[in-house]
Amino acid sequence: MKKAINIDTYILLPIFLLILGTLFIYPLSRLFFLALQHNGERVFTNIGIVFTEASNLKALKNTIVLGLSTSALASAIGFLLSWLIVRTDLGMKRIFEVLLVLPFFIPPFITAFAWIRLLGRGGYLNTLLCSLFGLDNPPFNIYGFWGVLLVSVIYTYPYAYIIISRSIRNVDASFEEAARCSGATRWQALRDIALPVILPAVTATALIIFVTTISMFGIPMILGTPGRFIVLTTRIYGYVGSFRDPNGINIAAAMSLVLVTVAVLGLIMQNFLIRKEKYAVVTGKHQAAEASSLGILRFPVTIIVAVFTLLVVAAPISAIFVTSIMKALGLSISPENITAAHYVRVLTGMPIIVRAFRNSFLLALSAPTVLVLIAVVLHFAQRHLEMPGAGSIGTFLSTPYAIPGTVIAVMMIAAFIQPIFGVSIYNTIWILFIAYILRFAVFPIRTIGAAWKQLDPALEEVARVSGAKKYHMLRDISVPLLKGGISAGWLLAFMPCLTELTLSILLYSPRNETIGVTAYNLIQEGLVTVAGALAMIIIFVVFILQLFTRSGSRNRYLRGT
Amino acid sequence: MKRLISLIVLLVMVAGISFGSGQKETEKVDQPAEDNALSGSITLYTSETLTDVQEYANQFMKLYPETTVEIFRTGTTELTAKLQSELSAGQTPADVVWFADMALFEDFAAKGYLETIYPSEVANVPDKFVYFDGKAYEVRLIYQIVMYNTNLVKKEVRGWETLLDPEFKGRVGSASPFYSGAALTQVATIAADERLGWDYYKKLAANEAVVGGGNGGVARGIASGEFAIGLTIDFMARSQKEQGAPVDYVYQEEGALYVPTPISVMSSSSNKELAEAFVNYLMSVPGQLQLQANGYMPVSSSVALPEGVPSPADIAILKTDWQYLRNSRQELLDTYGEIFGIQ
Repeated sequence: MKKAINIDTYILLPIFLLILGTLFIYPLSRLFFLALQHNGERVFTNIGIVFTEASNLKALKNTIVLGLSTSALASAIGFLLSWLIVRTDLGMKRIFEVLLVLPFFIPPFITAFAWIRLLGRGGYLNTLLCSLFGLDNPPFNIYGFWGVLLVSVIYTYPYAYIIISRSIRNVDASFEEAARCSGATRWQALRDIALPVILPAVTATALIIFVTTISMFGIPMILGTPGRFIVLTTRIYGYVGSFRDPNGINIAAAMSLVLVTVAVLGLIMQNFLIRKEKYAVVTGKHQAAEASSLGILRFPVTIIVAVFTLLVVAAPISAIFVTSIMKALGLSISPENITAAHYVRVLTGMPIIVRAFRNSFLLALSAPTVLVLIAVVLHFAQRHLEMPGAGSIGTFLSTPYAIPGTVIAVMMIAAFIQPIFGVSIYNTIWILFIAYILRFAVFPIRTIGAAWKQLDPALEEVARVSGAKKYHMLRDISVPLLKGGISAGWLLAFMPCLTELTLSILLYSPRNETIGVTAYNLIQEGLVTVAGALAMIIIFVVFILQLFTRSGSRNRYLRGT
Repeated sequence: MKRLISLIVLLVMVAGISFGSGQKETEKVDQPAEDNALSGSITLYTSETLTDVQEYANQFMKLYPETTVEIFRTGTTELTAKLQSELSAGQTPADVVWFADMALFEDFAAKGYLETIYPSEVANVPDKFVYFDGKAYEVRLIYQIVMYNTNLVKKEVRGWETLLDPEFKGRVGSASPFYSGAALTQVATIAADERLGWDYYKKLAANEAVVGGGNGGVARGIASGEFAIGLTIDFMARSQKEQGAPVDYVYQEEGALYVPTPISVMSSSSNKELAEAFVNYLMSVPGQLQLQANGYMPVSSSVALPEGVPSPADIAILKTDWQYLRNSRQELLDTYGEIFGIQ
């Protein structure tokens, strides 16, 4: 198809380039400069150090292994749960739907602490197992690779569930029905029709989880380091902050570039995998699939899912809850050691917490909204305006997610400490806003891209053929049909924004504290019980929000209207 | 979808309104310094406990109503990263810095980042706590000690050697010199100590000591029973004990580890007068009394010690060679990393 340069390109492209330039390219360029400097000269020494020191190579290997295994496991679990909940007659669906996404709402460093309280040497679960089976030594050790893998999978499988379940819901069942009318079994129809068309969502999921895992810091730091399992992010953190080496920041920057490269390779691979296929299954003549029956397996499978939910969702939240009501750490759980004082303190005695909630919500509501707008415009430009390079821009914008928060923060400091055009965003809430946008762009861009691929182009063409302007088509046809992808992308960006830590502890300023920073400072001060109360309040607030939004959007799909 | 949108709009409005009112608080009118009253605003970068520092700042602002003290608090590692990033990019908003990385302060002093000050209350500060000819000061003392869980440890705890007891195998906690300035000081000190030396660390590693991030984590771990015993900072142990956790601590009989936590005024500060006044306040008797009330050992001998805290004169400490630490930072970390199997 001939690529026409039209007027939209002349308006949209410069605007995009301007945004890209200030927000992304300028700080990212700092990363390159930092990485290439060693003792003041422009050299490749840093990259050399990254690839020759044994400990760095080990960290690289650990990172990739962790990323791949987490991605595989979490995607598999997410897919299984999605299918069970959307397409079968699993019992207690409503409860599972609400509970299974919860781990995603808890800041990962809090989840890591919760699991220490469960499976650490003095942890509740370990102690329980010891007394049940008369063991001398606790059977589970939460520190090290397995602990990091466990908690990483627990934190990320909800991503898979959210993305894949929405994708499955979007699939028009008539394709499968047609296959079955032609004699295919239910399983064959599923395998050959439904599964391939949700492939964009599955690959997007696997990729996002891979990149999330390799750039995660909190969980490997808290659970991996004491177990001698080092990854690139914990290594980078050590280089950046310990002044072990005057070139520490430079080496850290070089290491971050390695991380980014790994992520970009993953992104390119995902683009390639879904490029050629036709995935249009949202045809507008929507018919929800009937739930397949699990037969005699229904009861056992429901039990298995229930046990899974108990272990993975209820256990850590209970651990946090117990911590929040104890007078102090280490006391036994008995009535005289229980108190509500921490909740009272958090809710009334700490103005910093009210501020933190306000700041975090402001950021978490506005950043994803802006990102969704950018993503819609980008994909629109790519599909309908034939804007050259729009796809690459989307890929480029997704890469900062792979850069560890610590490094992005250092980049932002270097880039923005001096005022630009007389305006300084440093030490204001705006630098946090831009950092969050940089960091989490990947979610709306990937999910909306995957969702748009599922749209039958005929739907949009119909509007054009009937005389609608492109923008009307976008507003009245495309966007409503993209609702699933838009809300998934928004939600996936919202949650990390709300509880973000690694960027915020370096970029926040007095009176611009965030929830993550406040919880972190509380824990560092030894006020773990108070931090527990704060965490429970966060979980509660977000849980309510989730219920509220869910009731508005869910049933339409299930009933097929 | 409509509900989601209206919910978002509502929340943004609410957040915006409260955010808006918050902004007004930040507008302070700077009074002209006509009557010698202190005015203006300074920013403090610190890794000290936020609630404690907020108290000192509030008291200071009461004494000098025309002033504002802004506090940026984060962990020592992050603070180091932030300061260094800012300084290498050319400027920093910090007027006063206060955290536990003596080697970094030494480096800053050598590079001219720190201002030489002689506050009027310096008479309260013993000479050995005046650093770099007045570029940095100690205003309260902390030590790295041995903390233990009273439910799990029944035998007598004496010091560094107790951590090698096989009874505590795998249940000893320690901060990592890769992330903690105090832990790095410890490594430099122990490695050079005749009685302990690198041998001590080899035995500690053989006893499967768990080396994590910071001292706070060790204190929390001991309180919650994760570890039975470990190395952490005295005021952290005191804080857990006060909250009611089943813990106690001792100053090592071989000698505790003295951890300097210098405070300095940045030479790039735009309000050096106010910055110096704040440091001065901390050295003054009211400031020292506030520190004491929070359980810290005041540096001034004219202020009583917190309850249950021995006098610094009675605490034996190991000797730390700061030059050695500064020059051998890399080798120390490499050797330690090799012994413990972490890098």
